[in-house]
Amino acid sequence: MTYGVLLLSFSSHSHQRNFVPGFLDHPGTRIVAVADDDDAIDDDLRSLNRQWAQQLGVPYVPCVEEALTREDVDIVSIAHDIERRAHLACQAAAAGKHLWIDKFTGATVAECDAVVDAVRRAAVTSIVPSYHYGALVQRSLAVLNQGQIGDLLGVHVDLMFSKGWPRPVPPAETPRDPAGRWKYPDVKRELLTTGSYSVGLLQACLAEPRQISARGGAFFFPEHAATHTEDFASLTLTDAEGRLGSLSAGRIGVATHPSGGPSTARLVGTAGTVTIDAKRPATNLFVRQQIIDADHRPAADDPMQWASGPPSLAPPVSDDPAGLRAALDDLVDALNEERSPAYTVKEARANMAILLAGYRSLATDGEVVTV
Amino acid sequence: MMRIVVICDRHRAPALKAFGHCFDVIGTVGTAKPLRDMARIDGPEQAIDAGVQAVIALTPSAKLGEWNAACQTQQIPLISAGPMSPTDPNGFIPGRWRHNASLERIAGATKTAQMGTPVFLRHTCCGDGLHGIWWSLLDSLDFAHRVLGQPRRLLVGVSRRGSRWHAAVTVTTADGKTAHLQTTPAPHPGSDAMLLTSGGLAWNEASADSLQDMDGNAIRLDDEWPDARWAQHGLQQDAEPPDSALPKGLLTMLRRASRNRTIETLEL
Repeated sequence: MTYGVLLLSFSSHSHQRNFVPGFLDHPGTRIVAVADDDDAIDDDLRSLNRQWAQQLGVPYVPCVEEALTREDVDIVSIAHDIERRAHLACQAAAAGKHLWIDKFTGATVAECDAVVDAVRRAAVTSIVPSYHYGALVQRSLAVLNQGQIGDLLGVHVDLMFSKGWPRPVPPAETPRDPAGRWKYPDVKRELLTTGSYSVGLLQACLAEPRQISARGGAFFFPEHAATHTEDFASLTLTDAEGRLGSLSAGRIGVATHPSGGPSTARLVGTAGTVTIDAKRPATNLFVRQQIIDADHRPAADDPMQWASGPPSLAPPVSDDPAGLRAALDDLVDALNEERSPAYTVKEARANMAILLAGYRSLATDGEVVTV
Repeated sequence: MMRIVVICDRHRAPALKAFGHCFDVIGTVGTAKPLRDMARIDGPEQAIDAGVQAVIALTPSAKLGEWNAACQTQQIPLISAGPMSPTDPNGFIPGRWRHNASLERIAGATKTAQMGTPVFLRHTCCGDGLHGIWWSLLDSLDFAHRVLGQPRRLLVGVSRRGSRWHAAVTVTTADGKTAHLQTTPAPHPGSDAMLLTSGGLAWNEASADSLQDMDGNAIRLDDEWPDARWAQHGLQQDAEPPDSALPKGLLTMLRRASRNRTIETLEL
């Protein structure tokens, strides 16, 4: 059986474009339409949505409610702005559709709760594919399951994107609590955007958090300083079993790492410590002319490189380092076997709760927040 | 070569290798298994009879007070990689990390104008037991101080299972820089560091040179333990004093964080 997939929006703040190859290639899925609420989006997105529908050879439906009535839609891939995702997820679940949601299920914990509730009531299957299936989490879980490092004492993660063109940053205030606002024309909040991947690893390895402290600021981009947001952040937590976790996350500028940014975890156990580098094994590719001619400047229409990557001198050998193909396998198998995928809207809700506690701490310059 | 006794626990035992190149090691005290040509020393009397000229404490030991008293009586120099107690820095030669070439290179990177301003530092060092992690963190804090500037606040967390201790300390400075320092109970030379600056990133590669045995265990071949060079420096008459003061209260906070399983705040 193949499942029909409806693509809900190609917002530039999301990763729908990254999901398309998986839906096209997977034997268990087929893309049946692209949809959005035309009366609620701007001209650029209306045009982009239509371009993608045309490119994929499927209809564009300008009304989500109408698209959800299509009988050939089994799975809805939601990749709209964060502020709209909860509403769309609840709408799709109520229509009896299974959910594939890009990173964040809502802008607040209350919105995430509403999605968890809608999924439960509709008895549909949900997956948030971005956190659990990548190399860093899967290798860490393999090490823990093998028992080689004994009992886990702590997990420490550094995951950053070598993207964007840094420029001198004026003195900036402490970043503000987002209070449900995530969308800015020029910036993404990076504790949320890059930190959420590391939180996914902390979730996989540790119990629920008890205390959280976070710091962050604008160190690389004047756009972040001007909007009182962070381009870099770090976070420390303790879990319910007294174990320790920490992360650093950010958008740190092009040409700072041979593989596009560090992606490293250190697992400290009673019997050993292991360092896991998700960018290894890598193939070192040094073509003289390419290096000499390399242009690291981001494209004018994508200055923070939300939709593009830097030139990589040492790309990971894995053909699925982010685990999107593995996530799609899990969703299709879960539907066939009538079970839950490994990472659902429930885990995504917990991820967001950790991040928001981090933001409460960050806004007070690192005060310890009890969860 | 100077005849020495080394006080060393099991987790720092790999550091002993390099001592044979620059000292005549009479023997070791503590849980570290002595290397070939080294004896296990029972107490100060045995060492004095064997003509010991200096005692070097790489790790804390319950016997340190006894050795310190004997060395003072006999006027034998004793240097240690950490303080005897929070109020007694006698013999403590800070800055062991400065004799690790990798860490020195990372610290030196900040002198390059194009590296810009430090943003974030991560450093992993080794230590076990309450006093073991205290000594290691004091060294790591000295490294963070050199790289980021004067710390303003420490957030201290400790995770413990039986006799295995793990600490994580968040260091913040008044101008927004942050460091995450952590200890591991497994032997570790302390060269694992990453520095993010406004102009770039500097980090030490996790060991690429390792030997895999038939049981699947990896043995690192390029470990860079700074202890022997630190000891040589510390025993010089003109060894420079440390440039960072001991953060008072750290040991208390480590103890409290361990007992309460909480993140403790230490304002400096």
